[in-house]
Amino acid sequence: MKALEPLLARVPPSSPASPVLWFAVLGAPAAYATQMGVGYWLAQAQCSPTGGMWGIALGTWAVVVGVPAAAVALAAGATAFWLFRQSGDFKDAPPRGRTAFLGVVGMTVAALFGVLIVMTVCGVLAYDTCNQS
Amino acid sequence: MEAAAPPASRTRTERLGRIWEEPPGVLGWVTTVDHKRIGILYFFTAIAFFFAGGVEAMLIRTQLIGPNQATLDPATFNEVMTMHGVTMIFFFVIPLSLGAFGNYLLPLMIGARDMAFPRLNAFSYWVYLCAGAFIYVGLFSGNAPSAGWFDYVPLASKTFSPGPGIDFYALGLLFVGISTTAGAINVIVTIFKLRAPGMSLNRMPLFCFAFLAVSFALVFALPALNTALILLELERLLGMHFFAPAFGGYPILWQNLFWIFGHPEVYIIILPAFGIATSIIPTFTRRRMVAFPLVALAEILVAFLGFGVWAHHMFAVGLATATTVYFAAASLVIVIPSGIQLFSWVTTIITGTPRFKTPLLWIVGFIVLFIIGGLSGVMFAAIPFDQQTTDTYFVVAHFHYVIFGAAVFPLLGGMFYWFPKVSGRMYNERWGQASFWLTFVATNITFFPMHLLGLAGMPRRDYTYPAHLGWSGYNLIETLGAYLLGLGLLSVAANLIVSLFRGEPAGEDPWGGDTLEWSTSSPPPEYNYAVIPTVSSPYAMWDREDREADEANLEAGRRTLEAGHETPAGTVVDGEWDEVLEMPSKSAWPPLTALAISAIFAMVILQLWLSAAIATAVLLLVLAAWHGREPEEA
Amino acid sequence: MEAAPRSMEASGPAEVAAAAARRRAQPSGWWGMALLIATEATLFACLIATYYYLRFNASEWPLGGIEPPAVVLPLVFTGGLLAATIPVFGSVAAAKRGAAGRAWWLLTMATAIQATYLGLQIHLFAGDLNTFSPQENAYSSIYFTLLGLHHAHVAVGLALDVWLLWKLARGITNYRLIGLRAVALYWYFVNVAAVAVVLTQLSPSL
Repeated sequence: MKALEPLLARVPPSSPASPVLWFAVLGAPAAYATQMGVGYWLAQAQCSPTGGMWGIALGTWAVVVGVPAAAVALAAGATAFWLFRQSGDFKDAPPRGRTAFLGVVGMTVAALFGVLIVMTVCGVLAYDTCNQS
Repeated sequence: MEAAAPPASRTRTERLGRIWEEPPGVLGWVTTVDHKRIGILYFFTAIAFFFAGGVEAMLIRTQLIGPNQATLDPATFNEVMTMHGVTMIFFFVIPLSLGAFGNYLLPLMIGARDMAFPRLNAFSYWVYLCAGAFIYVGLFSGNAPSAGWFDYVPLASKTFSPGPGIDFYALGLLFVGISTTAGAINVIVTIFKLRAPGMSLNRMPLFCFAFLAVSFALVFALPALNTALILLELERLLGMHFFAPAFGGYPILWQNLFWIFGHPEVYIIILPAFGIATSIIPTFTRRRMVAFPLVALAEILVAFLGFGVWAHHMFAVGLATATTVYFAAASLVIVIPSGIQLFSWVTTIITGTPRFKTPLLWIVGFIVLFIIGGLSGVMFAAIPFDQQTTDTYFVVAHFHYVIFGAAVFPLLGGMFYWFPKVSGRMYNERWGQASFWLTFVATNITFFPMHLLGLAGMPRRDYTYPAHLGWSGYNLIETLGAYLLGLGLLSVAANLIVSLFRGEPAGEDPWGGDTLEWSTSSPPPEYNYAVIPTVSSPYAMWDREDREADEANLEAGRRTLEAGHETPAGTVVDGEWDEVLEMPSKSAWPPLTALAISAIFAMVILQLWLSAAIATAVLLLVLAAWHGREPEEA
Repeated sequence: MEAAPRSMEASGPAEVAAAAARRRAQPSGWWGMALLIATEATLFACLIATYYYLRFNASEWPLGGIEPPAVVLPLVFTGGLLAATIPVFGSVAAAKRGAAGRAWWLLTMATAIQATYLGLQIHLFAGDLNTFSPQENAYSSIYFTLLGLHHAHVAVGLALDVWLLWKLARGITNYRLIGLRAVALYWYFVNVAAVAVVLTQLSPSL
C-alpha cells in the first residue's frame, strides 16, 4: 500500500473515480473474463483443423493464464477488504457508505471469481484434450 | 393530500400539472412521451401477445393430449410451437418487464419526472408494436417460421426452409431488437443520471439494480443475435455462405452466436422478476432486505456470469472437452448468486412479519418454482447428465419452471402489487388469492410431469408420439393442467378488469410500501413529484424525516423545479446534483420513425431493394426532423 | 441545490462554455452514444470472431484459391481515417470553449477526410467485387460482410457529420455541443473498429 501512496493522494479512494476502488470491484471479473476469452480461443484454435498445427499446449496455457488471473482476483479482494475496513456502514452517505458497499461487493466477487478461475484451470488440466466431450 | 394542502403547495402542484399536462384523446396517446402512458401502452400490447402465445400453447397441448392426434398436422405444429416460443419470449415477457414495469416504475422509484430519453422511449414502444405486427403478418399470411425459437441451421437455411417464414423470424427479431436495445440504453442512462440527489449507488432500490443488470445484459447480448440473424438473411436473401460446410461454412457458428445471445437472454427474462420480488418482499414483511449489498451484487453477477455459460446449450453437439470445461465450471458457479438471493428472500420473510396478501403469495410461489427450476437447471451443468436429457421434455420442464414459474409469477404478483398505484383502485383480495392457488397448482400439474416424461425419453418438439411408450398418461395430465392454467390466468385478468371499474379507492399507499412511488397520488400526477425527493436509503418511504422534509420543501418552493418541463440530473456513482434538464413533451416523430422503419423491413422481406433504399433515405430525413427542434425550443 | 445550472438554456458561446466547464458528470446524450457504441462494438467483435471461427475450421485460408488481399492501400487509407481524429478532437475542444466558428471549420475538415476515405475504400471494394464475389464461399462472404458493415458505419458517421454541420452553422447551444461530443465519440469508435477490421481483413497476408 505504501507504494500506492502517490496514486492514492492524487485520486483518493473516497473519490467515485478512484482507480483503487474500481480495481477492487472490477479486478476479479476482468481477470475471469480474460481467462475465459484467451482460454476459449486457444482451445478453438488447437482443436480445429487449421490451428492444430500450431501445437498449443492447452494445459500449460491454462496455468500461464489462470495463475496470474487468480492472483489478480486475490489482489482485488484484498484491496476491497482494505477499503471496507476504512469505511463505515453501507447505509451511510457517500463516500463512506458507497465505499463500504463497493468493498463488500469487491470481496464477494473476488471469492466467487477466484473459485471459478481455479475450477476452470483444474478442468482444463484434467481434460487437456481435443476429444469430443 | 391536495385538498388538505396549504395554498402555496396547491398553487405549485397546479402549476406543475399545467406544465406537464398530457394532450387529450387518441392523438395524445399516439404522441405521448410520458413514461407512465408508454408503460401502459406496453402493458396492454404485451398482454395481447401473452394471449396469442397462450392460444398457441393450448393448441400444442391439445395436439399432445393423446397419442397420434391430428389436431395439428406436423408442419402446422412446428409453426405453432415456434410462434409460441418467439411470441412469449420476444413479444410478451421482455416488453412486459422492461417496457411496462420498467418504464412505469423506474422514474418513480428514483425520484425523477421521466426517463432520460422520453422520445426514444415512445419510439421503442411503436417499434415494438410494428415488429409484433410484422411477425404476425407472417403468421396470418401462412408464412410463420417453423424451425423453433432458436432456428438452427441447416433447417433454417434456404435449402430446407425455402418459404419466407424464416425471413419473417429473422427480420422480425432484428426489428424488435431495435426497440429492446433503445429501451435498454434508456434504462441505463435513466438510472445513471436521473436519480434524485442523495440517491447514491448504495442507496438505490434493489429493483433498480435488477433493471440495470438486465439492460447491460441486453446491450451486450442482442448484438450477438443480430449478427447471427444478419448472416442468416445474407445467406437466405443474397446467397452468401456462412453455415454450409460445402462452401467452407460451419453450422455450429449459428449455435454459438445464438447462444451467446440466448443464454444471457434467459437471465434477462428472469432478472426483472428478481427486481419485483425484492420490491414486494420488504413491503409485505415490513423488514429491510437481508444482506442488501449481496442481493444487489447477485443481481448484477447473474447478468455478468450469464455471458460465460452459453455453450452449456451445446454440450451434446460434439465440442472439444477443452472448450466445454469452461462452460461447465461457470454453469456451476452461476448458481451461487441465485442462491444468495434465495437465502436472502427466505430469511427476510422468516425474520420479518409477513402479511400473505396476493402479491406476497405470488412471490412465495415464485420462490418454490424457482428452486425447482433452478435445481433441474444446475443438473444440466453436469455434462454427462446433459447429454442424456438434452432435447427431451426434461429441458421443457426446466425452462417452463424458470420462465413461467420464476419469471411470470413475479410479473403477476407485481400486477397485483402496483394495480392500486396505477389504477387508483383495489383489486378483490379473496379472488386474487384464489386465482393464485389455482394458477400455482395448475403450473405444477402442467410442468412437473414433463421432468418424468423427459427421463422416460420423450423428445421435445415432436408433434405426436406413439401409444405404446407409456407417455400418454403424463401428456394427458399436462394438457388438463394447461387448461386449468388458462383458467387461472383468465381469472387473474377478470379480477383486475372488474376491479378497474368497481374496485374500492386505493389511496396513495395501501400497503405501507418501501419505495418512492408510494408517496404520490394513485395514479401519480403527470409530473410524478412536485418536490424532488430527499433520499437517504433504498427504502425511502420508511424514512419519515425525509418525507417530512419533502412537505416542507413543497410549501417553501425548494427543489420543485417549476420553471419548465424539468427534472434533475446527477453524477453517476454518488447521485450528487449536477444540472437541471429540460425534458421534451409530446412528439409525433417517434411513431413516424417507427413507420419508416416498418417500410424498410417490409421492402426487404419483399426483396424490393430499391424501395428499401428509398425507405432508408426517408428514415434519415425523419430522424433529422425529429432532432430539428431542440429542448429549449420545445 | 436550486442553484444547479439549467444547462439547456445555454444558447450563446460563453454560456455553453460555462455550462460545459461546470458539469461534473458526462451528459445523458454522451452516455446514450457510449452505450450505442457498446452494442456496435459487440456486433463487430462477433463478426470478427466469426471470421476467425470460420478460418480455424477451414483447411486453407483464403478458401477456393482466392488471392490474399493486398496490404498497402487499405493500411494507408485507414491511416488517413485515423488522421481525421485530430480535427474531430479539435472541433470538440473548440466548441467546449465556445469557439463555434472554429469548431465548424474543424468538423468540415474532418468530414472531408472521412468522405475521401470512404470514397477510396468503396473504389477498392468495387475492385474486389470484380475479382471475386461474396457468394463464392465462406471466406468471400465474411470478407465482404465485415468490410461492408464497416463502410456502412462510416457512411452513417458522414450523415451525422452533415447534420451537425447544418446545426452548428446556426450557432452553438448546449444541445449542439452534446451532439458534437456524441458524434466525436462515434468517430473514435469507428476508428478503433477500422483498425480491427483492416487487421482482420489483411491477416492472411500479414
